[in-house]
Amino acid sequence: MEQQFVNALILGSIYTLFALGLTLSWGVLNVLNLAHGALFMLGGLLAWVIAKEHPISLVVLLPLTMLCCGVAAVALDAFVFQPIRRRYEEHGSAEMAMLIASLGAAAIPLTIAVQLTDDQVQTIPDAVFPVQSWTVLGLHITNVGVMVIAASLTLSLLLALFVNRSKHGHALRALAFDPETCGLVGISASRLAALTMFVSGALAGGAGLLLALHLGSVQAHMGDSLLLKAFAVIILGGVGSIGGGVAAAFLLALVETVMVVYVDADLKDMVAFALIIVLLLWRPQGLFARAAWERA
Amino acid sequence: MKGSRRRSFRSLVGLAAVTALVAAGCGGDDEASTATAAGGSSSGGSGLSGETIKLQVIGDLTGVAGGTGSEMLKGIEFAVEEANADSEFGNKIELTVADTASQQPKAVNEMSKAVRSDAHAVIFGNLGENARAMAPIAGKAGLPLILNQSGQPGLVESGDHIFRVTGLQSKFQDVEVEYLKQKGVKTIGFVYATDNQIVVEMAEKEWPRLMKEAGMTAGSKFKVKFTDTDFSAIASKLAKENPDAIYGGLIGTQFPTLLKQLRQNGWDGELIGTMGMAYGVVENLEPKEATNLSYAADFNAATTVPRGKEFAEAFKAKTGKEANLFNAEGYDSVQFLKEGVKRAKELSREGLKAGLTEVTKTGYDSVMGKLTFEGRSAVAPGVVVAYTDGKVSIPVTGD
Repeated sequence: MEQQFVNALILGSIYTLFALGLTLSWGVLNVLNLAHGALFMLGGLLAWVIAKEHPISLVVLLPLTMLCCGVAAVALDAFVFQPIRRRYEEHGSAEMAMLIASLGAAAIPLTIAVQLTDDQVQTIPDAVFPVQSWTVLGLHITNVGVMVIAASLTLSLLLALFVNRSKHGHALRALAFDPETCGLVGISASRLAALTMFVSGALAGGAGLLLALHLGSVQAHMGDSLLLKAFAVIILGGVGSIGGGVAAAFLLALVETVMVVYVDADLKDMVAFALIIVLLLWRPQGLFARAAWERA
Repeated sequence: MKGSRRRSFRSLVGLAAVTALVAAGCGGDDEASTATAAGGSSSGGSGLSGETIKLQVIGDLTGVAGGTGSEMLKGIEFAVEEANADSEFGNKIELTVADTASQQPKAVNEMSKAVRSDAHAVIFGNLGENARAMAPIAGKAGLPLILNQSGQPGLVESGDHIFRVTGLQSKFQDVEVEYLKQKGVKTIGFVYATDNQIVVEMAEKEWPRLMKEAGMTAGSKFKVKFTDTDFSAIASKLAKENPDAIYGGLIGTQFPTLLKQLRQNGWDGELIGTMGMAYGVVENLEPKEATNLSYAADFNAATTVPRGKEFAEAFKAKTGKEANLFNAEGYDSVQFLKEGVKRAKELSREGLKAGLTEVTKTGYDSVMGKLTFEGRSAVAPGVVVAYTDGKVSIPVTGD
């Protein structure tokens, strides 16, 4: 049982890392970015492409991957989302258009990935980060698993501090609440949007690389199954609530792990989403939704 | 007024007569063109010598199944080139290729085009759902359809023009069980995807039966989906139970993760895969990871079957690459066609169908060994492909 708790901790950390960036873009910019899974996959793919020619250490590869994915997300915002926002007078009307556009945008990195990998599973060379398995107090864990847990908790804390305590963080929250007034008081919405997307993309890319190391494989569709779970985590936790998202991620991971190991893996998705529905019926705003993040 | 009515009536009768004559003429032309499309000659079996066989290949060459589909096509093209250079064969094969993009609507469209063309036969691979959609269209036109993979239950039985030359995986799992018996395996755990009928049939029917005969017992069974990517929880539980072997009924992209997570949890037993491991899985593992790994297949380049060895060597000499089972299956489907041509009495769709049916009664020597048939579905002897420190061997070959 204790081993499964460790497994759930790692799985929950993966969901957290994936969902963090999405909760930021959705909570601040009202962008339901369906290309987030593609950015996540791009992290793993870029790491594989770089490492197979130049097997550099993870210490360099991780920030490099995050930087590239952050830039890709900024480009997505600049060429896709911002033009759509400008065309629509009412922000709410732009949401559906941005949703559809993000779906289309996701196809581009996916197609590139399929071509580069021949749609086969690839592995990141051992030289980048040799995976070691440890047994501590009878429990098995790998160095990658420890890194995934540490990264998710650290990044969640840093992001929460940034949003709640920093000047830019306050500006982000103001932007989420009332974009028009932000402009009147000198807050540059477009710069903040770019910053938000950069952080969102960087988080996705980093998560993609870490997951590739954890699973021992990179493949073109690795982000697909996580996207739905990420949305579930965000809605359950409360849109824009980082703490809520983290709690929801671990709750979902725990339910899934218990179902897979002790009940029936076939039922895991059904039970997990049924639980989400029940919780949302009880608290429609999510477990930890904050009034300041509610969309107008 | 009366006169004008009579004139109108005569005009109508005249128009009807002309229409009838034209229709009869066109009907006659249609019959002629149909006869031409079907090749229309009616000589005896050996009288087909010198005729050109029009072969249409419809493949899942791109899209989700594009990897294996394009490999199948390489085997077919190799076989056609070989056949056309072989004076003993006595016929030429004219090959036309169409891509379904792994999509059903496109597959149906390509089959409709094939039916309207002058193709004598179609070879298709690999997705069963595409084959199922195409089969009735081919059936209505009496167009022989030779299938690669496409192991959906009841598919071949749905029409007497359908032949499958890829042996069902479930029919040669006995070679893998024999190999495990040689290794002293007593207990086997299971992890298998429930969204594939073939895998479910193997995990829930075929393997329990074979294991019972071999005196082996089943450990825990875990069901997953093809979309699952993380197996940490399952790997922990199975490693703790420590069966001698674990059967992984998964798709290719899932194997490396299951393998690594099992090893990370301290389990070093034999991991058994499906034929999904044959393409793009093991070659991307580190050599030290590719050990205590095996699967049953219909072909591997390290085969000891004489015709298989010959094919593997010739294919490597021409392409510079090791032949995989999809190349071999594509190659064999052309061999099956050639055998059917030899036994056909006339070069027409009907004649070829009769010839192919004759082949299914006797079987033939293929690159996979002696291929026999249950109905119109091939049964391959099977081989075990085993990996030790990244090196491949064939420890067991079926009869």
